[in-house]
Amino acid sequence: MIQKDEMKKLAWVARIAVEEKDIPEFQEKINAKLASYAAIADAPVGGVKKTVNPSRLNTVLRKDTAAPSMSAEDALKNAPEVYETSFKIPKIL
Amino acid sequence: MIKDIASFKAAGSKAVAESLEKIKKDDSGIFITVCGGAESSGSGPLAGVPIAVSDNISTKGIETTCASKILKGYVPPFSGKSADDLEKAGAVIVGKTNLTEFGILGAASAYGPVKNPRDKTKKGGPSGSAAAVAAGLVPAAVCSDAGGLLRVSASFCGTAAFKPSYGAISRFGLIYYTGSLDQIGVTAATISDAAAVADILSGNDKRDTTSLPEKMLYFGGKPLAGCKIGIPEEFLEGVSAGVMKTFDEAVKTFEKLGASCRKISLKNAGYMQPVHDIIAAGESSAMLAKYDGTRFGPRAEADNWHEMIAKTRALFGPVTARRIMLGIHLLMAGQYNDYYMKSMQTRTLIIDEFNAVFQDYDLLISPTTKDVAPDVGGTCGGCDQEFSAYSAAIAGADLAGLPAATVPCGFVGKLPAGLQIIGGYLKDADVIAAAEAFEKETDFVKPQEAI
Repeated sequence: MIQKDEMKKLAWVARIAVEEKDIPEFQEKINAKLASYAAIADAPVGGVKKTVNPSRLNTVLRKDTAAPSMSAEDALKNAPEVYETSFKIPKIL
Repeated sequence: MIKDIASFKAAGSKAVAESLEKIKKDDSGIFITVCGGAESSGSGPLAGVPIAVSDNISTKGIETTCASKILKGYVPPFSGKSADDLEKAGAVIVGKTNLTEFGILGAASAYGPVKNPRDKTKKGGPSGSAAAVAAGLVPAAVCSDAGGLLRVSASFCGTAAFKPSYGAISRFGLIYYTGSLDQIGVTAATISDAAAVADILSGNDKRDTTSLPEKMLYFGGKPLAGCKIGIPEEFLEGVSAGVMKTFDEAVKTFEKLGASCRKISLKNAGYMQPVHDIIAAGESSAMLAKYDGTRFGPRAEADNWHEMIAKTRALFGPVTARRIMLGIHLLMAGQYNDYYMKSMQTRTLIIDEFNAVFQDYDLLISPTTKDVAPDVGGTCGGCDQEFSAYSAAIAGADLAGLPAATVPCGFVGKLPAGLQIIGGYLKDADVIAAAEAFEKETDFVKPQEAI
């Protein structure tokens, strides 16, 4: 179960601003989820391989060749702020 | 009035205009965006047929929000393959349907709930796709399906729906939140129509690395006579008496059609929902990381980059925000082995058990949801536990990437109940054949049926 300080840390790692008053509700609901996951505690997984996705395809790397891609103009079309051909963001420090 | 593709085709050139007019008048929260200028053009199997597309499928030049404030105003510079395929087949995309935020069951749509066309005090499901069909606004709607976004909606609204084997339909341009579970499917007035549209959307696409190399065939499946059908007992747990009655009748229908139905036990069924939930949370924490106010969507005002990202990401609804945080927690070193790794291993056990069952059985059937549509704004109107309220049977098909259909199998009062048919991996045609045979024998889906 996560504690209040851990909850605040999780919100920071997720980069989602959560108001102080909402922290207890977030903590309570995430802990309720974690409690429901006790159902897998007894799953007999010793020596079992993991499944990352259900595709039965063998992963084959494609050739590293250039192909047409989205234009810079299209890629920037939805950006809140643009500088020449780049996304512009507020100062970092 | 629920209408099939043939009925819309019969309306000729008026079909699209009539569909748009009805959509504009609709006040049930079914659509987020109406494509006002849509016109029929071209030829193809769906020429002039209005079709709805879920708002998490990219449509070039048409706002695509995933029902989230964080994508408000986003206009994709490209279309998803399914949207492209529909247009190539002559279909006209008349609108983008509502869904729970990013398709996460339990999350609230920024545009409010979808009301059920059969009873507007009830939910139309986690997506507006089935409601669009049930209300007769379109004959078919394309929507992704992780956790039952499509199938649960179809069950609640009394439409047919089909989700193919993992990889059969390209997800290029689908804004999914859980890549190993999300698939694109179709809901329609009849399962034959759903399969016909799925056929148009299927085929290899190099832009989706999980795309199957061969086009999936949906027709010519095994006839029901002599078919062996398993009924996992665990999928019946918690099913309401009313829905159970419809299911028992459905079993009799399958037997009348020559199939043998037998109850079986899936020892890993109890793991399906928590494993689905853990994997979806982990994947969503990664897949929703890109919404940070840099490349698309709104940006919150802030003095520095860190603050800007945190304030922008506060645009996620609370359920989605918690899902992301939960996913991050599950992927942290301290928890990873107990939750995420264990879930991926348990997923292998679930797939292995399904594979073993399909050595002895052709199909599995269950109620699609435990109960009929709940009240709008009930206890699960934006709650974290909504998914588990629906069905373990939904989660199982997702985890193993199995084809699954839902068809109406009766009514509880005036609300429809759904029957889920699951097939073995790549046995999509068998699922469609069984669903079609069931549909023909029963009269729960009637094109042009008065609601």
